[in-house]
Amino acid sequence: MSRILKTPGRTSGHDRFATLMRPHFDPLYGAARRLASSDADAEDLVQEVCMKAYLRLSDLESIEHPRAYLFRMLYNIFIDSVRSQQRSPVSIAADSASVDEIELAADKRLQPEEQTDRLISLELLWRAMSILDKEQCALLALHDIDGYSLAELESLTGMPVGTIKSRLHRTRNKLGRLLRREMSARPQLSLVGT
Amino acid sequence: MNCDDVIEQLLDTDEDALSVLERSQLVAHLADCESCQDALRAANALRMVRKQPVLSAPDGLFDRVMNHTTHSTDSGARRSQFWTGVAFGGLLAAGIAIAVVTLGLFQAPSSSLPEVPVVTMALGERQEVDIAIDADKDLPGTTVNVVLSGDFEFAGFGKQRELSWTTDLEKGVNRLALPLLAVGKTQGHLIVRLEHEGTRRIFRVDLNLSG
Repeated sequence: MSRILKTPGRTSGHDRFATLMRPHFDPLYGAARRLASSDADAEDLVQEVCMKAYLRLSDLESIEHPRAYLFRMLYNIFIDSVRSQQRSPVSIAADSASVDEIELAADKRLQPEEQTDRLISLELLWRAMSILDKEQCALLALHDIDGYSLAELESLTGMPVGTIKSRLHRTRNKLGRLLRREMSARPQLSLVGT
Repeated sequence: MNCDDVIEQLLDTDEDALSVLERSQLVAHLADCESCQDALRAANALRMVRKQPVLSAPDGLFDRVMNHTTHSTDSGARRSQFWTGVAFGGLLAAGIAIAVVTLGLFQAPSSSLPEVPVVTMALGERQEVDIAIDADKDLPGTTVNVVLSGDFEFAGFGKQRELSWTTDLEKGVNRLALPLLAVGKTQGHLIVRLEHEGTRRIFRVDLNLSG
């Protein structure tokens, strides 16, 4: 005869996890909604983050910036999903670009090139990010989208500020180069708004 | 001007707060530096994402996600424990470190105890450690007490280093699956105490760190 003894207290993980997640849930959903093209996709993203986070509950309880940790998970999961979509035979909805278009250059005075009238779609941006290193992109998103400071990223990653600055710059540089190439390869995007 | 500093300065400083000199230095650098032009292009694209409104989660989503998360994950853990038990011999053959303490509970004299089993884990690794407890008869109301020392944790229990509960052991092999997490460099022990009607047995597993 063989049987399994159930370790006690595991069910209390639900309460601990819910307590820990509650203050971060709305911001996490908001961040996911900015990335996803629909409410349903955003909910799926948040659900997946929570599934992974629950497995790391004790880590989450002991770190200084659990929200940044969750956001980093979110970006990693999202980039993975973009990559898998690109491998999928199902193409992205044709009208998504028109819905998600964002203006590339907010600051005309500091633009050395006359590209302020160009538009980049979110789809293009995420696809470009999915080509780059996932962790570096997550770091960049935490800083440039979510506004985490270099000091906070230092605490999250354990890397010195100087290293973070260099990596952020390198990743931005690669991302910008990819966007430039994509924009020149997709003239229909550059025509919008001219 | 250092390339690493250019975009940081643009992102972190309100442009209107830049002096004429700083602005002209930035413009001059950007005009000559294709790398920074690319970085600025990316920074502006990401900045526009940042400016999008942040929506709140729909009503009820929090509870739905929490319930689904813990239900699915705990169910998965129980399934995992079950299969760990069934595949016990196979896992040992595959070389996965699982401590095994198989005793004739409450009957075997302490001198017949096998050598102390050793589990070796890497820093940050999570591993299910199986303890097999062989009872010669049904032992209802047995108290199980497990204590960890060293830089190890019970995964999912945070800093709680000791667990106690009462269970009914059945005649034959009872398997106790303990998820352990190596969180530091200090070696330690897992002590398992079983107590039934005033009789006690204590098992020890040595926990080592690899590397």
